[in-house]
Parts: sequence; C-alpha cells; structure tokens
Amino acid sequence: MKISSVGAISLLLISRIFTLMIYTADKGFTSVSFLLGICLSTVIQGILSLILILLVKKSSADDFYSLISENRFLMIVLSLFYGAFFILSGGTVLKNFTSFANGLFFENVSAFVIAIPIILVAVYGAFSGITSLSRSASVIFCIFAFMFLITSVLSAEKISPAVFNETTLSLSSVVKYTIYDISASPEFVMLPFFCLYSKNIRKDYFSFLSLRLVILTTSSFLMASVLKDFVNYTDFPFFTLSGAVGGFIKSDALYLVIWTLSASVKLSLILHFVNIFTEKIPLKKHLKFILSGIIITLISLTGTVTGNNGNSQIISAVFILLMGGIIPIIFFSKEVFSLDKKTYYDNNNNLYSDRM
Amino acid sequence: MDTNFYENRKIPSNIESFIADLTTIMGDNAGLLKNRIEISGIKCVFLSFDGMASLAIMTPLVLNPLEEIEIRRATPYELKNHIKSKLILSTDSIECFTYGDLLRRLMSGFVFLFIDGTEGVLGYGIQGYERRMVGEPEGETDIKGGREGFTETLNTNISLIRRRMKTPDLRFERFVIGKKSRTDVAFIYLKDKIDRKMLREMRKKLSSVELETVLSSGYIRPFLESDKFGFFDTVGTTERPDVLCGKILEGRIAMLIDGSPYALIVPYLFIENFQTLDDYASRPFYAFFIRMIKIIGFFISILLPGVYVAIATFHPEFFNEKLLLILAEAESGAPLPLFAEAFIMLLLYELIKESAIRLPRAIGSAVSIIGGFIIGDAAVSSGIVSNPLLIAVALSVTASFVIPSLTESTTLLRFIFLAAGSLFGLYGIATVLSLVLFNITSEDNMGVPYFSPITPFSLRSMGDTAIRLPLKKLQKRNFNINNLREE
Repeated sequence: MKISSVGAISLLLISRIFTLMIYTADKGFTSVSFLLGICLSTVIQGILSLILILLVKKSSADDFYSLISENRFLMIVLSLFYGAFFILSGGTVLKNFTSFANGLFFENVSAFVIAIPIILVAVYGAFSGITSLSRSASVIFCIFAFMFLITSVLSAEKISPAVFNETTLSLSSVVKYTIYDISASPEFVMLPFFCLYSKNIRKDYFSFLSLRLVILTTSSFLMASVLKDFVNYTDFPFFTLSGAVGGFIKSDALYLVIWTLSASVKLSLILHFVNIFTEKIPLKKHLKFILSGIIITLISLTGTVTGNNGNSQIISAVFILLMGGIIPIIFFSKEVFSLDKKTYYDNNNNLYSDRM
Repeated sequence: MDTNFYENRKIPSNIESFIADLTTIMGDNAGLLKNRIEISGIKCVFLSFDGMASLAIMTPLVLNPLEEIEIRRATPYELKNHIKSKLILSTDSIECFTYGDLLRRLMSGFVFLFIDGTEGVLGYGIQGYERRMVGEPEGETDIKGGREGFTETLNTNISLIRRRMKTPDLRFERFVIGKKSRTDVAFIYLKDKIDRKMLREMRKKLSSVELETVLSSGYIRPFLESDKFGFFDTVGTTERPDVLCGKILEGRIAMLIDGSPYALIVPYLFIENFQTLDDYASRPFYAFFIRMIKIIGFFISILLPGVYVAIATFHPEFFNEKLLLILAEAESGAPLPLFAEAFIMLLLYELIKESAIRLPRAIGSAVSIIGGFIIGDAAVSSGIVSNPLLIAVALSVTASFVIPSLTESTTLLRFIFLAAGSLFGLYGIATVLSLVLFNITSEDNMGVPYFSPITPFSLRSMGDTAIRLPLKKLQKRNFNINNLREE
C-alpha cells in the first residue's frame, strides 16, 4: 500500500521530532558547531540517499527487502541484522521515553508502569498498518508545527544574537555534533525499505531532509539564543524552551502530549519495520507485534540499551550509515550493474534488457 | 425440516392442490383469507391477509370489476388474459409463480387471484395497513430545513426522496433480507454519480446478511461497516429525506429498510458528524462558527472530566494560584478521590439519561428533574462531590448534545479518558489520544478513509469540512465522495 507524500514526510519527521524533544545538550554546547553539525549530517545523508534512490529506480527490485529476498541465506542474515537494529532502536526510544517521563513528570513511578501503556498503544498502531501511522503522523505533525510556530514567534523577543559570536570554530565539535545527528536518525535506515510505501521516494525523502533541517536549525538557534548558558544545565533544552516562552509558561506539559503522540508513532513505525524482517516467521501478525513489543520493553527496562552518550553515538552513527546507506548501495549497485550485462529474449525472440 | 421448503416451489394449476399447499404451508393461520368465487363459471380463489389490504379500495377497484366480468364459454386462460389485458385493477400488479414470491407479497399487503387451470397467480398492490403519517424528524431537527422525516413504510420513504430528486438517474434497487422477516430494503443512488465498484461491493456486503429478522437499520449496519474495531460509526444515519438527497448527490449509497425511519448512508466521513442541513441555510462564516463550536464541543465532551482529573492530580502547575486555591478548598471537604467523584457523577448521569429515555415522556422529564437538580444539589451540598468537578462533568455531557450522532462514542471515550487521566495524568490522556488517532485513521468504508479529507489530505474536498465555502464556490468544486477513495 502506497502512502501519500504528506503522510510519508510526516511519518519521518515525527520520528525525528521525538528525538529532538529529548535532546540533551552536553557541557560546553556550542551553537554554531551544532548548526554546522546538523547541516553536515544532512548533507551526508542527502548524498547517500540520492545515490541509493537513483539505484533503486534503476533496479528491478521495489525495495531493499525484495532485493535481498532473492537470496535465502542473505535474507536470513540481513533480516537478523536489520531486525536486531530496529529492536534496539525501539528499546532506545522506550528507554529515552521512560527516562524523560521519570525525570519530568513521574519521579517516583516505575519505568515499567510508564512503558506498558505506550508499548500497548504502539503495538496497536503497528497493527493498524503503515497507512494509519502515516495519517496519524500528519495530524500530529500539524499540531507540532502549530505549537512550534507559536514557540518560535514568542521566542523572538528573547533572542540574543550574542551567543553566536563564537570566535573559533572547532572541527572536533562540528564532527561531534554531526555524529550526534546521524546517531539520532534511525529514519535513515528505513529509507531502503520506505521505497515500497512512498509514491515518489526522491521527492518525499528530500522534502523530509529539508524540513528536518529547517526544524532542527530553528530549534537549535532558539535553544541557544533564548536559553543561553542555561542550555548546558537543563536536561531537556527543547522542552525547557517550549515551557519558557510567552503563553506556554507553565503549560510545558502540553508538549508532553505531543511528545507521547510522537513516541507512539515512532515505536509503532519501528514495530512495523521489525515485522517486515520477521515476515517469514510462521506466527500470526498480531502475535509478532506483541512479541516484538515485549522484547523492546525488556531491552529498555533491563538496561541493555543506554541513552545517547559519546561512545554509543559513534557506534550508532556508523551502524546507521552502514545499514541505511552503504550496505543497500553495495547490493543495489551489484544488481544494477549485473542487470546491465544481462539480456533477455521476449516472446517474439527480440533482444531486450531489463532496464529498458 | 427446512422452514423455507416452499420458497422456490412452483404453484400448481389445480385449485384444490393450491389450497391444500397453502394450508400445509400456513397451517391454521387465521389471518389468511381464502375466498372461493366463480368468475364466468371458472373456479377462482381470492387471497388476502386480514388487515394488510385496504378494504376501501379492494371492493370498488378489484372485487366489483371482477364480478362484472362475463365471458361466455371462456377457458381459464382466456379469463386470465382478459383480466390482465382489459382491466387495470391496480397500477402495481404482478404475477407470481412460486409460493415464496406469493407469500412475501401477500404479507406485504397484496391481494391475489388464483384462476383454476392456469399457472401463476395474479397479484394487486392495494396495501392498506396502518402506518404512521409523515412527521417531523424528532432526532434530527433543523431550524431552516424541511419538516418531513422518514416513516416506517418503505414506499412512503421512497416517495419522499423521489419528490426531491426528479431525475431519471435516481435509482432504487430493492432486496429482501431476513430469512423469517423477509424485510424489504432498498438501495438508493444516482446512476451518474455512483462508482460501479462501490455498488458491487455494497451488493456483496448485503448478500452476506443471513439474519433471521431485520427489525431496524441497526441490524444491517454492522454488515456495511469495515471489519476492524472502531470507536466511531463509519455508517451514517439520517431520518431526513433532504439530507439523504444531499448525500447521494455526492456519490454515496443510501439504504432504506422497511420498518425503520432511519436511512443508512455509506461511505460516511468523521467530519460529517459536525454538519447539519442548517449550515447550508446559514451564511458561510456562521456555518464555520457553528461547526467549530461542535468540534470544540466534541473535544470537551470526551476530554474535560479526564483532563480535569489529570491536571488537578498530576499537573496542578497548570492552574494559577487563585484557581488552585479555589479547587483545593472545594476538594478538601470531599471524602472521595477525584477520580471516584468524577466516575460516580458520570455514572449517575448515564443512569438518569437512560431512565429518562426508556420511561414514558411525562415520567421521563420528572426523572430528569429529580436526577439533575435534586440528586446533583444534594451531592454537592452534602460534600460528596465538589462544585468544580460537577461543572466539568455537566459541561462535558452538555457538550456532547451538540453532536448527537457521536453520543455512543463520546460516552465510551469519556470514561476511557477519565480512567487514563486518573492513572497517568496527561501522559495517560495522550496515550489514549494516540490510540483513538490510530483507530480513527485506520478506519475506512468502501475504500474511503473515514478521517478524510483531513488525512489523507485533499485540498479540493476541504471546502465543506470545518469551513463551509459559499455555495457558489462549492458548486464549482462538485464534490464527489469517490474522489476520496483509496484503492
């Protein structure tokens, strides 16, 4: 089932917005490096995705999964690899979710109690299908966009450009923020499989990357200019920003609603992708969703995954680039170039190539 | 033994065998009137059901002309041909060849003439059973709309539609559903607007109905809905012929069921719950205002008690100091937790509402007064329930009255949101909101997403959603529901 462009873009954006809301700035946050890091990360993802999308267009396979399905061994190995990645991503999302909720709203409540409702809803969301998820994401994105716009407008009077007067740009900090941004983009790994759902993957993915860049740069600009040094001391700067301006003072809990909505969409999307890689397992679809949900909950609650710290960011970024870009590019290139050499005879004994 | 063994059984040409068969099938049925007569020397039997045919019409229009027939040495077929070709005993005349067909018509108010020695029975539609007159639709009142509503009689309802749609493209397809009740139902659509695929799907859905009886539109509704569990109805209902005409004009299919004053409409969109016929009689800005009031009312009706309990319990920082003190003071005297108070009040309201609906009107209003004023006042003055909570509950239930078509859903969701808000605060509310959002966006009927044109978004179809464009602009857009279909 193909989904609309608005739905596809919203789905990917909501997934990224969730990560934005729980962004934790480290000590010595440098806004310009942060902005450059985001831009660099977007450029890297943009180049890789452009190559991949061009290859997919030339390939006979609709998406990466159908390509690897032709080789049974490869399919099992890569399914395990990608399935594990999405399970771990889901665990990280849930871990971040419970930490955030514990830190801000439910200090004395067990993480398990917080995790159960959201994972149940996510299982239901995944079971509803990607079409439903994309439609829900577009509604949530509209609400977010409205609140984000208001936050941005209300922030205007508190903006202080002085914080952008960084005299020296450190390459290491730019690289650090680039790695952070890539590690916070598991949506990139969804790209090779998203071709199956998107009507125009090139348009949709590049619209997503552009909008993502706008939202991330605007929010980092606001975080730096409104919160100033306080950005280093607050656990969740974006959340703090939203509660610190104009009419939203004291109403920051409203963001909790959007954040929960986006978390449920992101978790559902992850469960949906886990289901793709467990397609061959002879279990009913809803049982697979429930089982995946239980594993994600266990992973997040038993401490198998940790938050986004320095080393795990590097590992995540490497894996995301490998799985979202490099591995699919290698396989698609192999297929496309081998297709070039192949020729076929049709029913009328005419010579033709698959790529005609 | 198959009770419908006679359904396809052919009617014999011998009068004695025919009467014997009827006695076997109908048993000792006092309602069936079998009058043996002779017309031009040929034995005949005149069949009717007591109370179903109009006696006032039967004698002058059917019996008298039959008595006056005089054909010398006529054969049975000559007599039959004479009646068929020379006499118009009723404009609604048919000929039945099987018992199933005969009995169904007979019990619908037709009278039949069996002529010994001929195959087939001549039938005349002169129904004369008691029926309710066309009156104002009680559950769907409009200020500037018509005053006519559907009745329980299918033919009357069809005539109400026909009067408003004088086009040859208007189509009625009649079916019989219900193994025992043999209820007449009719599809209504405009031939030039309907999607053929949708029509085929509708026929297929209807053919899956194997109920014994169909006593109201509610019996058919589940068969027209999608198989998924949904909080909301994806099949619309109306008791107004003008509303129905508006819907079929947009490429929908309506369905009338004999015995029910409610027509079913598919596909139906969520946003239509907030629209009324009055919107088109008002100026666009006012229609927009009223629709927004209804949308806000919907959110108030499902969320207010839950959000109030969630904020008061988990996020008191939302309230300013003054309001917080008022609430704290009001709650300090209440012996029950906030959730229990809200739950009891909502339950009490549902009890009073249900009893007021089921009881005769005079007593029902008395129950409302006792329930609403006396019990409510006593609950507050005794300190069991706090005043702010009572306001929240009362506002919530009052808000639900602006969208009567969503009453079932709002009632259920109000309790669910209350439970979620009480357990997890705004996080619980957001979790259930996600659930509802997933549910509502996954719903579709006949391939039309229930939440469209909001999502999937269709700018072209947004002219008549929360906003209502001027009719001059709407007519240019020529909205058809099939444009929203997703394969």
